[in-house]
Amino acid sequence: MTEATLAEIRSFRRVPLEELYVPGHRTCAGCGPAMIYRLVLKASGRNTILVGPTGCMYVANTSYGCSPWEVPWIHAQITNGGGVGAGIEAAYQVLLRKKKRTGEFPNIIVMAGDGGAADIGLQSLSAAMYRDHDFLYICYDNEAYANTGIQVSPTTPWGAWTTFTPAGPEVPMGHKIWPKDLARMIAAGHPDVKYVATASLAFPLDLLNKVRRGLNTRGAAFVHIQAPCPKGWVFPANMTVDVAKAAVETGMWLLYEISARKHRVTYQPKQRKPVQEYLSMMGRFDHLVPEHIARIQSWADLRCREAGFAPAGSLEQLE
Amino acid sequence: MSVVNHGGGAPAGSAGPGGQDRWKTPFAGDAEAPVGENERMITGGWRIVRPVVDTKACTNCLICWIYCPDACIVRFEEYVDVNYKYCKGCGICTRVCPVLCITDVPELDFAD
Amino acid sequence: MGKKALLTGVVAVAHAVKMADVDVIASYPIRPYTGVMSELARMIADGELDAEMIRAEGEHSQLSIAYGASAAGARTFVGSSGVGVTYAYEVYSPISGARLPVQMMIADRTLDPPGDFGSEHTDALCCRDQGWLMGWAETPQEALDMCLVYYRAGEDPQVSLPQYACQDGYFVSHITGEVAIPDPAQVREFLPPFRPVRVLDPAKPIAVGPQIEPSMGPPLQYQRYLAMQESRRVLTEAYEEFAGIFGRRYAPLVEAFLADDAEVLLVTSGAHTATARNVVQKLRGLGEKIGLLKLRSIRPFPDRELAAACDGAKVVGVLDNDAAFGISGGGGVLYTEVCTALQGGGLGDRELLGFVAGLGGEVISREEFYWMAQVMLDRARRGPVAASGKRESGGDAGLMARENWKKTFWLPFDMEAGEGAA
Repeated sequence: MTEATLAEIRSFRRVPLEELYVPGHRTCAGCGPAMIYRLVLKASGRNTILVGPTGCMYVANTSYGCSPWEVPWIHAQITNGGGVGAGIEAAYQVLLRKKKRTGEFPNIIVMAGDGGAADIGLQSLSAAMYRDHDFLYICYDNEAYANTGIQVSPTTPWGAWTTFTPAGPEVPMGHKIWPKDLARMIAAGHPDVKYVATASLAFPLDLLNKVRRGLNTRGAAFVHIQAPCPKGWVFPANMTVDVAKAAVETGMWLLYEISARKHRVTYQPKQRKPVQEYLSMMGRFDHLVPEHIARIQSWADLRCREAGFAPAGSLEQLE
Repeated sequence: MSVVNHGGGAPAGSAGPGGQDRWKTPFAGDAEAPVGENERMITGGWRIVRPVVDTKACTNCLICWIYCPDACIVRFEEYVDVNYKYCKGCGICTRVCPVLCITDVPELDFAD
Repeated sequence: MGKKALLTGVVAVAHAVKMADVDVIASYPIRPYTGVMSELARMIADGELDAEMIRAEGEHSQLSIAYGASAAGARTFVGSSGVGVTYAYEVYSPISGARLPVQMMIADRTLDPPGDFGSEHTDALCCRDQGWLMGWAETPQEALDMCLVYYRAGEDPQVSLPQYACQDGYFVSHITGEVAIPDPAQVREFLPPFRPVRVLDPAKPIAVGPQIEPSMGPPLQYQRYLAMQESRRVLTEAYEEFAGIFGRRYAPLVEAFLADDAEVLLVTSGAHTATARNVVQKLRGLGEKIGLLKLRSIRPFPDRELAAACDGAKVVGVLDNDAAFGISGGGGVLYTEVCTALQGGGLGDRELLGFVAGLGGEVISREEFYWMAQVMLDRARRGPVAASGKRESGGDAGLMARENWKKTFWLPFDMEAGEGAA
């Protein structure tokens, strides 16, 4: 994306000190998406233009006509992050080419929630990926429409409570649809996309470097980041990192990247823990009974198998 | 960013109802980028507990710094401290500290 | 000094877009506007135009791309027709709210149903209040010229608003007319490079479109209101300068034809004006005091100019080529607009009639225009309602009868039913 390649970051001490997402925003205490926003800007640096489709990171960050970003940011509708990012990219390409402006090509980053990426904005995302615009689309996935008061989205896990999928005697599991797999959908269906990755805020160096690899890619890149939400998932604000880590350690969130069409697992737990350990950390799964949990375990096992992970608990045996 | 009466015709500098100078609303509602902090959204008052760093025990490992969603961990040469003007008291720093040098203290225990 | 060619409306606009050195174009196919994009794609392929042309996946994305590109400092062009225009609806207000002077060419088409390629102004008029300039071109020449004038006026920092440059589908978009293609040097003189009020640039960071608190709502909407008001002056000046450079003089907002001493005036917009003008001329030859007013601009709506032009007329009829179900008055959009514009002019002395015609793309025939004229002339002969509210002759009973007279007509039904005679 930029002329200069952004270097890999190998330690916390090498993470840029500069804060481009400054203190002073109305995100909830312990907000996962806010943590991700800060890390993304540490990875991208000052030569960045942000596109913010409607969602938590629009409403909570720009409340009352203010901005917490030291880089330019523009609102997009929840429907059109891909299109707006594409337009900015096209403008910079042509204005630099026609010498109507000077300077460096910027890092253009769309920061969309799961509603804006996987649901109402999916068409816009897919088309921008298909056309291979030189920009990075990040989905901060808090697995629900959280800003509007926790309503189900296509990435809400099976069995999760939301205000649109409450559990009750007739619907004991709450939400009863398995989530869309957005990263794999983008990778599988968009042949020109050079870089697709998943990331977790519990693995910050991995996250920073995947963002940088996405930005270093000439062409469209997509990074899907799980973003625990204390309010929406019903856990204490100080547990955000623990919950994100447990998702990875139980196989409920998988870390991989697909670069030049090669799939690479970037982290897998030495001994995968039962999903129960993850589910029990959150109030949104309180209503589940053992047979529900067994179904989720099977789903996690299947996905881990498909992603090329070793079977649960077997890695050490293999070694 | 220009603060102007785009479209013309508006009496410059005349304050609108509520004492607010509505005529001087920024062009299209654009917001200035902040410098270092966003003082239009000071969040320190949200805190119920205050993370207090034992700076002598701090190893400066930066784990709390990397995980703070609000960029409120302030780095010094040999230790870190907290920006209480904005810290929301989420407690993540206390939770992730490997040497347990941060303590969540109820705000009501402090005189300020 | 330029050259002449026989061009359709869509190709004429493509020439204007090329000469305006547009930077980003976003396309999506729908008839009848599509030809402008095919022509622009050809120009790019042949090296005649250097622009990024993005084949969007729908009209909503066309407008989204234009929003981002304009905010990044590019001159942008999009277009659509019919349901394509309404599909993009969400993005119109964000574009004008961010004060981005995007240009959208609309070649009219009916909304569904009926599944119909025919022209009808309903598509564009649905969007009339979104903070965009809007007007109709009657010929390919006007379409070319309007494209240039709209970029100039819309990009003026005192306006900074997007523009819908409309033309009737088929009647303008697909029928060739003689077009004077300007010399590029003339265009450069008339249309300076786009200098955005602000731009997305890491060197000068700002946030565009943040959430606001309610107290910021009134001034923000008021900014757009003032900008639209200001566009009257800017458009007028732009057309004046256009005449000086290109030698074609347009009445900027309302174009009058045989209107000076007219007792009866028909208000039109777009391509059907050509037929109406022809009929008016014929009737003038027969001694009828009839004239015509063509609305070049719908947004801003030329209230004052229209009121001045209607001064002295006994009957004003308004042609609506749009379906507006349940609208006040039972005519179309322009009828209610004209009623509002003329209310200060003493409604008691003047009768306002609405004619809805040509829906679904049907040609509005001369016969229909003759019939409209006859209805208006008939009403004029029956005399005005006095300022007291009573007719000069006939007393209360006459007034009652007059109030029951039909004011709005749907063609051809009311014509065939003989509804014109009061």
